[in-house]
Amino acid sequence: MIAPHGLAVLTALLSMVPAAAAAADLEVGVGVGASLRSNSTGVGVTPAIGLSANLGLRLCAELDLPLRLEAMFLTDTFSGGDGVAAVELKSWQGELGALAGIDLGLLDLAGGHLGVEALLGPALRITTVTIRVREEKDISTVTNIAGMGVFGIVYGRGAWRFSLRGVASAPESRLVYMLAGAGVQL
Amino acid sequence: MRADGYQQHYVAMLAVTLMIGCGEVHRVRVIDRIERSGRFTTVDKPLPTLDSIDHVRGSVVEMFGGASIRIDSANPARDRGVNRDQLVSHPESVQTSWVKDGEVAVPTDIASLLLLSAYAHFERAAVYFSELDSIVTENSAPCFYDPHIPISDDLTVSTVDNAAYVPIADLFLIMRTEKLGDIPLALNPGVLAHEYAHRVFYYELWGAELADVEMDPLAANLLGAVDEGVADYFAARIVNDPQFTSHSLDETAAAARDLSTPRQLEVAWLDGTKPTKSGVYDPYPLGTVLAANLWHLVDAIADLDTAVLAAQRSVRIDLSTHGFTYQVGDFEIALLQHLDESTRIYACAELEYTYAAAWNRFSGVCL
Repeated sequence: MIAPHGLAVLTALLSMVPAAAAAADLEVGVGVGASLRSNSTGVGVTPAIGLSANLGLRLCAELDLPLRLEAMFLTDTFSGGDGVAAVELKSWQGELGALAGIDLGLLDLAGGHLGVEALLGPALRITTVTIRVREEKDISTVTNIAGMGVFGIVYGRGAWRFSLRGVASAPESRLVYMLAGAGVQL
Repeated sequence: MRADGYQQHYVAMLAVTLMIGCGEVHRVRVIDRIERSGRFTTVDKPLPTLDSIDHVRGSVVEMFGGASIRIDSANPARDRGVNRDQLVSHPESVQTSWVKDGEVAVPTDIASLLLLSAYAHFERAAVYFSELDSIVTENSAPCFYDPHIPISDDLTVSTVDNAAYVPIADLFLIMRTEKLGDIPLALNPGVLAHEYAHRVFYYELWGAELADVEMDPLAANLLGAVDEGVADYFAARIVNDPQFTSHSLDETAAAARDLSTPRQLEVAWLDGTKPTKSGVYDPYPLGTVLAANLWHLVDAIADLDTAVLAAQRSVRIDLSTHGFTYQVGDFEIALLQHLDESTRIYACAELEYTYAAAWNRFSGVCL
């Protein structure tokens, strides 16, 4: 059921961008941090480096609404393989999310303002799996639609926006990202 | 018009993506050996007995991770896995990671690939034995992947680079791969068929009642060798590969288990004290004599598999009747008694040379 709703939300978001851009703050940002993947054996998690890039649109300034639209791309450095020489599995996952939600300033702090953000939306997920058995490789690339959620603590000062974010998507993903990001208004 | 065209294309592309994301999974990508070429590769297999891809749970086995297994002579397990929870602590349900590529589930990490491939190989063995009308238990057996096994004085199994079936507790173990340079044991269909054949042996020969058996240790050694030999024979049959160990074990170890090489019984092995390895009885050399002889008979005897199972049941009756004693050749004699006369004469002629050291015991059945 996520997918048809996701399509509708994505279409709506894209149609809003040109009109809203003129009356709001457009911002680009990047994030870096950790991705945590729970192990398939049921024991522990495997950490990796998580990366993100985002294009944000904050509607608060002109429309007096604590709303935020964002396109966010996420990936990490994970590659499987546990030292078994003859067999190796590598996977790569990237997710492009179209998110909408609140971006709420809570208090003024050191010349800026501290707030929270909570965003939800559909994401296009691309997964590539490469399985090597001895010299032979099998490569699969799969795309599907998922739901993505972001919760963050935000500090804005001037044209800059800094955030600490937790990001997760579902279904068929056991990845949680913890990212520190910085963005600047264009 | 142009914008509309792009929009239609965009919507159509997303619709295709959504279609790819939906639908049921009918097959699972696993690693298997292609029989014709002998190479290992990825294969998309339907796994009809698998109820949960996420937890690798089905009517054949259920996979667990993270468990600590206590294997020693004082273990409190009872037959058919009763009291298993006193032997196994902290088992964790596995949670595989996979993506749907059309109707195929593709594992996205190496542990998921190993777990799902292992299930496929266990299932293949279970189906084979089911078609032979072997005793089929209604309960699937648990399989503990990469367990922690505390070292104890009477531990005789290797805790890495190994796979095992523990009768009484009725469970499988797949240990971590550390030194093996080639195909991991979980991906070797012959190895897991071998382990599944041990489970069949426990149910067929022991009637799943082994915990209270008091048996002469030397006789137990000899029956252990039969267990290994029968397991190697069925493994080779199921995967049609008499050298199935060569894909995972080193050259020397694999050569010693190669069923395509003729083997001969040695006089020194008759009393169950030899051969030994690292000071303990080694069941494989005697077992390989049995397995290699069965393998050489298989083309000439159409219903050999059925006779091997029937021999297990006959030995079970003999054991309980004659106070759990066993001598080299008892199993082979029981097997010959389940063959029709012409086939038995042929089999006797084939076995006479390789079993020369104990041939006097065969006089009742091979005239």
